[in-house]
Amino acid sequence: MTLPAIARIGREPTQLPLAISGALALGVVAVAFALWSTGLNAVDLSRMNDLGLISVLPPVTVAGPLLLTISFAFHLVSGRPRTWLILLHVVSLIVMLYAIPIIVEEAPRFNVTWRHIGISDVLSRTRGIDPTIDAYFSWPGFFALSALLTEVAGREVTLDLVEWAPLAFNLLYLPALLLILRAASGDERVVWLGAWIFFVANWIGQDYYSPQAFAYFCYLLIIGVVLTSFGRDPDPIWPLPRAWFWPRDRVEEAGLGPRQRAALFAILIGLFAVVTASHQLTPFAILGVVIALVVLRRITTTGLPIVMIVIVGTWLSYMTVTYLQGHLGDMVQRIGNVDTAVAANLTDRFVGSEQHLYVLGIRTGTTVFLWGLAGVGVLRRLAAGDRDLTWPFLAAAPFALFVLQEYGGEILLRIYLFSLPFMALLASNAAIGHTFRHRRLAFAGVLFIGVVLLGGYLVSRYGNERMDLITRAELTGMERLYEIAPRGSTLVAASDQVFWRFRDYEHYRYAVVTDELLESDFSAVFERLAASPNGHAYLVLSRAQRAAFELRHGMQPGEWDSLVQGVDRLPLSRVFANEDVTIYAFTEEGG
Amino acid sequence: MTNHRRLVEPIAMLAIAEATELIVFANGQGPIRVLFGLAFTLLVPGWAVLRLIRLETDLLTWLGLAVAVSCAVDIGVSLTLLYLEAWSIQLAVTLLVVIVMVLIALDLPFIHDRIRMAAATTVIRLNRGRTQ
Repeated sequence: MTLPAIARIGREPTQLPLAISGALALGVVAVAFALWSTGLNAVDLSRMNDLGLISVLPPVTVAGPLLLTISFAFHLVSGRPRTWLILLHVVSLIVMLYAIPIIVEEAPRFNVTWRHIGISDVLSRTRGIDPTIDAYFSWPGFFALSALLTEVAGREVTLDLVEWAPLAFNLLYLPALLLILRAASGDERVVWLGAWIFFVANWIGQDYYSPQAFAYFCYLLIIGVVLTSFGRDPDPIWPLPRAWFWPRDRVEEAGLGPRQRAALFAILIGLFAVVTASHQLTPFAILGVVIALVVLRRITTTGLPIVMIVIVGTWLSYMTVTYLQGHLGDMVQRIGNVDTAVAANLTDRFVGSEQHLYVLGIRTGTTVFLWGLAGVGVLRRLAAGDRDLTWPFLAAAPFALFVLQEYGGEILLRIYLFSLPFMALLASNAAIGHTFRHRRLAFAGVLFIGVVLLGGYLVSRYGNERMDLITRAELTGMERLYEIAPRGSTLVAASDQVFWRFRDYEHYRYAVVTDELLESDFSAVFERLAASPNGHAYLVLSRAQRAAFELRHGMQPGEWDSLVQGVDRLPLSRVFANEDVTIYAFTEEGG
Repeated sequence: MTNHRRLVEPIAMLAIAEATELIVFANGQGPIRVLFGLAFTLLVPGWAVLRLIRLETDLLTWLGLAVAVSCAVDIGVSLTLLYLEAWSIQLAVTLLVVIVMVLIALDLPFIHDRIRMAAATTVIRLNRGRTQ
């Protein structure tokens, strides 16, 4: 055997018969699903405010995952259930948390998703990779996979693939996550609670149809396989004291044969190579964790980081030259610029409408709560005599990325995501320590953590939904834009919260005039349109852009209408309008 | 691995691979294409690799690894064709089918045993060389 099998959660002598507890659990899960789905049918998205999806979710929908949380807590601490019952709860939770937009919304959400469709389309259409188009084409791994999947399954399924991606990715994260958690704890209760916390605390929303979602799957899997198949008792390098990293239980050897070790090593290298070809940041996160494991001598494959560095170096040196030629200086300048990173990730982000600031507060609160729980978990482990600091060490490793650069103001979000498996494990220890004696207390702890994180998730995850969702009218409008605008035109939007670039990606120029419109400088907007090299430019105003102005920039109701009136006064012709999209055209002849 | 799995899995993998190739070349559309296309690209290459290395683990981990390895193989094939400016779905699927067939062939008992014997013989020769 090479990887650990799912350990069974044992049945204790004073328990109810399994058939009864199993039937009870199945019944509760069925009721939870019924509540959840009943409520979703009644969602009216047009009434959504800046709090996001939670403002229109009926209480009965929230009651579904809440009931599931209670049932999970009960079964987890009772020791009665079989593994499949706990697994059923976790999978049900994933469905309830991540499938909500699939059911209530009319089109795949999030504008970047559509850009990714456009990039895959370029690869299929041009049959090659042109790295001069933009940075995405220097890391085209995921888009190559996307092109293959959409063509092999038929192009008409593209939107379905895209829409179901968050749910599919989170289901894929589960086995990889279980590998990591099982390497850290022999107590299945800690493992499953860690998995539960992971999914209910994953409000970051980086699991949409994207390179980072795929790369994160590989991140979890690589770390999981390294820990379970190449793990060993730690022997940290000097000056780290060995006693601080000595596990309570000895690390079990995986019992791999030499050929299996070589094959698994090759698989790890292959996975890392495709991550390197797909995403800029994730290879460095993997590298950080693997280096931490090598420093602790927690794994036997001490040469792995060297191979990984060679792969990253080779890719950057040969395959991204076009991109780096224009950006290397800027990238190097940003390394170690912590002030900029703090501003871009924290201070600059706390702006917008009152309700949006409330959402940001909940996000911060959820993060602090989880990290605080992880801290309590560390203390409980120490109190129980487990001095192994490997897991806090790994949870801290992704924070090194903060020094690299601000990553478009998102580096803190990514750090949260990369440290989440380890934070979830430690938070799980806060509720269920090594000594599992006080069952009622453990039940209360699990329930408290589950309910708080569930509330945090529903607000945080879908807090930007007013601008992230895409309506059918917007879809019609944007498709019309590409029918109207000849290739080579400049497409201009009021905000970057616009879904475009999903068609003929490389054939249009794009511009955003947020600053000009916020200053009501309409002549500057006109100049941007008039600067179009081929003399054709189109300004798009949409519902999502209005939502972005109100949500992010705190624009009051009515201000958007006066902004539209200002645009109406420009010498542009209105070529399309429906309830959510208005398109204005500038042409040299008519403009 | 049980005899049942040893026999059924390669046949199922080959059937899915060939069905996908036929559907793609015939430009078939509809749910059958979606089902076979996704099952083939997202599961079969990785499944074949994991069988070859005799990995024994629970179904959940196996599925996760199979999907990840399949995606890695898919990306390898697709990127190669794209950088060679030779991308076409027919060629990509054909290459994937060939890879799967090779992996399955390597896993056939008589070939697998011969490879093991050849490897063992090489090791013995190398050891002899060292001692001399």
